[in-house]
Amino acid sequence: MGKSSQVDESLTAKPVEIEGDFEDVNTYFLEHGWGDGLPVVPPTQARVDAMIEASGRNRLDVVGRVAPRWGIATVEKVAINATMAGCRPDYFPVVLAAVEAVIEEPFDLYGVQATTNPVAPMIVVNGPISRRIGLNSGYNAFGQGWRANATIGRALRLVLLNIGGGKPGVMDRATQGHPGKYSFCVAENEAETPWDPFHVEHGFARNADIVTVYGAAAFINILDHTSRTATGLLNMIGHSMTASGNNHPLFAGVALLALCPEHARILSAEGYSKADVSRELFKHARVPRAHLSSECLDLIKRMRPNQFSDESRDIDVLDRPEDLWIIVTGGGGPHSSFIPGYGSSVQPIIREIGGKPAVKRPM
Amino acid sequence: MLIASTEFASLGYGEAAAFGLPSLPLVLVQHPFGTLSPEKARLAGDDIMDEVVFAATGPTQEVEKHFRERVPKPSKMTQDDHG
Repeated sequence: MGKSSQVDESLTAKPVEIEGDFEDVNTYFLEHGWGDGLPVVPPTQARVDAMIEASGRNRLDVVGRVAPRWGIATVEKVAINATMAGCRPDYFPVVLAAVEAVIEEPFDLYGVQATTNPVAPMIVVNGPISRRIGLNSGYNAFGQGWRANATIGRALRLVLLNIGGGKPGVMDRATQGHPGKYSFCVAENEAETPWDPFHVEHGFARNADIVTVYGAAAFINILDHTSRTATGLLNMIGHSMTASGNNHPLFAGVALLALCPEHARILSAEGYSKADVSRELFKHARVPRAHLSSECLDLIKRMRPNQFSDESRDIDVLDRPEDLWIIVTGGGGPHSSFIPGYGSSVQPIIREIGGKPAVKRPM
Repeated sequence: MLIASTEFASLGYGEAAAFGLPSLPLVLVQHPFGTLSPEKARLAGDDIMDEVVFAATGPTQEVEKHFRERVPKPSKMTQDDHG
């Protein structure tokens, strides 16, 4: 469906001609294993061209190699997948930035794609672009109903499938996976956070357009409509982070807390900064040793020997307070979410949209 | 040579094919072994030792033939390279 080029045929998408209607196109794509199981928008030349044009990039620019099949992602190939996902052209710079982010070495995309763990790249968008393209950061921020959220997340998944080779049961070895593997894109509710937005906290200008990718397991709802004080709320949130079977007791790493605006305001009203919140939750988030099997404790001893300097202490969910990253998103109501990570081998990546392309991986 | 559990065989074959190495020796240990006792894990290692030695020291053409014949035929899930 992409246009041929005489420049480098190995980089160009091979055109496919399919006679028939929408159903025929989708049957053809599904038969070839091109997709996520849902119907796709046929990536006609005109649609793909519009996508590329919106990026201001050249068709054959190499974005990088996508694990675990190490397929070469060009701007054109990413545009084809964004089209299939249903993106509008003005979403495409976000999709490109997300692809550039997940292929950065510290993200360990190979691990994220090939693991048995239920882990998916979660995209967080900050900056004016999120309002401009209509990303939802209010009610049902992680849920259905907004084209931008749904299709940007889906576009990244299609890139991971079609270019990266992450086919379930073949190179994607996830035992159960999770629904975020269809699409997982959210924006921070910058209008409602009582603190600096996430990207400003991480050193970017307030008006910068930023994408963050995070290796996210399925998340845990934290209902607290009773606590009126920061002390009570932090106690509830901290202990909600201590499921024995998430990856953190074994592998630590970065974890993500998505606070709802109501919870964020309770904490901020008592003078807590985000760093203060992370420090307090670090103290609460400890897994009682009695909740872990002896075999699991043996492995933790090898993976995190620092947890055994005092065997009377419970196991820290995180190694350091600063490993808890906090965003504010959602509408009214008392529900926040703890989103466990994959472990210390996967680092979240924060990237400016339209910023300098990532360093290319060698073969 | 790549040593993997049977659970990750398709990942290994797929990656070897992507790198143009269809004869890459892929020695498989029966999955699961993460829950085996150290003693049983050693026995699992013993089970593959002859093949590991063959892959490392056998005549190149025989080694390539042996491992190439083991590669499953590509399915629709792996053969199409689509952008």
